[in-house]
Amino acid sequence: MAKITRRNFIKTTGAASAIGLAGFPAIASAMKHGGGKKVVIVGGGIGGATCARYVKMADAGVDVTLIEPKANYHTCFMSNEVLGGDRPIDSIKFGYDRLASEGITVVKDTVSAIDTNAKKVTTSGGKTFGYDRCVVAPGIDFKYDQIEGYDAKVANTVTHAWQAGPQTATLRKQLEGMKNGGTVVICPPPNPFRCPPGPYERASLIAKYLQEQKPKSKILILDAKGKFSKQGLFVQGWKKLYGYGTDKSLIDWVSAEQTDNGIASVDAGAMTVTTKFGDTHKADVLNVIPAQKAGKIAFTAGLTKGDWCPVDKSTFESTIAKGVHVIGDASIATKMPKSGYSANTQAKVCAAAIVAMLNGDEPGTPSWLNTCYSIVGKDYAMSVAAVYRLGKDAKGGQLITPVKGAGGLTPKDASPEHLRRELGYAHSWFNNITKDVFG
Amino acid sequence: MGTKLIRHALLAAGLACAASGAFAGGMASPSMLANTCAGCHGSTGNSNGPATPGIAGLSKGYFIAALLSYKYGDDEAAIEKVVAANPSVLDADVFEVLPRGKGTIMSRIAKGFEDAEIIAMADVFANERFVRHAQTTKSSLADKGAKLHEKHCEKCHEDGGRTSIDDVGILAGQWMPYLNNSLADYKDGTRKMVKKMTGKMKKLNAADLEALVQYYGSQKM
Ligand SMILES: Cc1cc2nc3c(=O)[nH]c(=O)nc-3n(C[C@H](O)[C@H](O)[C@H](O)COP(=O)(O)OP(=O)(O)OC[C@H]3O[C@@H](n4cnc5c(N)ncnc54)[C@H](O)[C@@H]3O)c2cc1C
Ligand code: HEC
Repeated sequence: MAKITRRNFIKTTGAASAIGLAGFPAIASAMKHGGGKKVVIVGGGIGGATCARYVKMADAGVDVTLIEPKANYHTCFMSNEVLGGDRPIDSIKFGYDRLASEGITVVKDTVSAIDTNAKKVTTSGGKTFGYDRCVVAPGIDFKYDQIEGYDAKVANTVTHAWQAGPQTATLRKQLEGMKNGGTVVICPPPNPFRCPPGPYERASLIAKYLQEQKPKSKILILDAKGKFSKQGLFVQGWKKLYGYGTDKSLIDWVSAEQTDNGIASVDAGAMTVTTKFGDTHKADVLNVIPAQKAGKIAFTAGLTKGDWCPVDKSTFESTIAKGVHVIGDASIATKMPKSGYSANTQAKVCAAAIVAMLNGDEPGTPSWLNTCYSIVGKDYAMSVAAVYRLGKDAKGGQLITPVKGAGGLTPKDASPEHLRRELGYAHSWFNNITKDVFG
Repeated sequence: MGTKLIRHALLAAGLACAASGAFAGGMASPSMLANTCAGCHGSTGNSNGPATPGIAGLSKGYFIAALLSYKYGDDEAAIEKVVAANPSVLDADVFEVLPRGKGTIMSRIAKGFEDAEIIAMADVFANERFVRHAQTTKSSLADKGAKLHEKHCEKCHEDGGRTSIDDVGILAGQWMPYLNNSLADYKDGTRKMVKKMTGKMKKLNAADLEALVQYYGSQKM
């Protein structure tokens, strides 16, 4: 009689010989020989920094240079928790020391031009860098011309806070300074934009703060859209937590039908915002998130078609300029949302393709994943997830498409315990992805 | 050229079914698939916590059983089919998939992967080393937990719960909020235990379980 039931599910004979080879890129690295080849990465945000690390891990012989103007990057994710007073801003700040110690050349500068024929990148600091492959990951820029009275300068006081950093701190200070009974006006952008659930998570976490500290206050969302990401779950949470739908509600959402598709103008002096329909609202704290397009360098380098950059979906190589890849928010990744997790898995697909190409191999089959957590309140978070594969659209074109029957939202009937756990998973996601990106 | 040929030969020998770069359009490579998990489970499957578990160093059998459980729920016929289709990998006489509850984030994600992809990822994570992070624990409780573990759990969770041998999860150094969630799921029946573990668990009260979790969380090496 055996003392105990042994499980040992796996047959140890025959086909189990994959052990030892099926590793992460680091393990395969010694076998690669892209030695001396140059990869220059423009932008050290989520996409760019991930790509730098994963190229280096897959092939230590490749010479990787990352160009980024900021000494420190503030993640947009969890910046809404900063606004709600739930975490200090330094907890979303990351530097580039780890990347440098991994053998990546980090250059603090702004790329001003990319010569895709001569394969050369120029910076405003006057340096040039030749490349075999260039990765452009500049994130987003704003369409300031669409809102009268609003521009990059005004945004220093009437913030968008849609690129985390100084504006996040400013908006938090404004919320702290606001009187009990004040009105916070949030103006979300039209589609497509970075982080579709982001404005509504922001409203949620500001509501949480107001409820705790300034319960007579209100949040008014003047939307450019008629519906929004995870709307059912947000509304459910707002009803449960913030009296949504009652006359005591902390949050009011005004849809595109009532605003006539968003706001027309901002008067920063008077602290008013006027919708396209013509209603003017006075704010004590005003947060205006403009419509978006690819980061400026993508336009300068001629990588755009419309507002974003078309790419081959299996390599993220630009369909306009050979040898240049565009990843993250700036790229057209069809069904993938513009999110940090998307940028992170796109960067890995791109890195693997680049290493294959530099080694004279065919790029492999890609696979992507995205999970976006949204925090709604105390012990209350929810998520949307999808696994993405390369498919085809109706015309036979490439389509990054979610696997059918998989993914989706937190169930509507999720228990309080389930929602509490999702908050723990949201924080774990933050800790893990930031380490994966910045080392 | 020489090195390149060798590289391909190695890959072909090692990953008979997992398409390498050379077979574009086939299955994505194991690392391509496994790398997408990092956002939640950490680079190389080593989680930085607090609630999502580390999955590095999980035995291949445990990983496959867990993912199939998330993917197929209580559809036993579907799971039997997977076992039957992979006779060279899974031992039909002992392979067992225990229910893990529905609607969790993992049941949504696991459905996005083919069975063969799950098996390929299992190899990747089984070959990684599990890293134990420092967690705050009370030594008096951890000492009590150590004794309870030795008495009730060590037989299956060997080496103080450090290994995943015998297709059990890693307990030592696993994130404590995750262990608490697992134990809560066992308690309310969301997750099913192997029979003999059920017997052991019955003998323990809430304070005992807390001590056990403290013991596992206190192990850093
Ligand atoms: C409030 C909010 C909440 C969010 N929450 C989540 C979330 O929970 N989950 C999630 O997955 N995503 C979230 N996101 C989205 C996520 O932040 C973005 O999708 C992600 O940052 C995109 O990565 P990226 O690399 O494309 O761009 P970025 O991360 O913005 O990086 C671009 C970098 O390029 C640099 N750069 C630009 N131009 C140049 C140039 N010319 N030369 C050199 N460098 C340049 C910039 O300085 C910047 O560092 C959130 C966003 C917001 C605003
Ligand atoms: C008869 C063998 C056996 C005994 C005894 C046993 N376990 Fe387990 N345990 C298992 C197996 C098998 C699994 C994996 C189950 C599965 O596949 O989901 C497991 C899983 C677990 C898990 C979940 C791990 C995870 O990754 O989620 C915890 C926690 C756990 N055991 C704790 C204990 C504790 C505490 C004891 C002692 C009181 C104990 N076990 C005794 C066999 C045993």
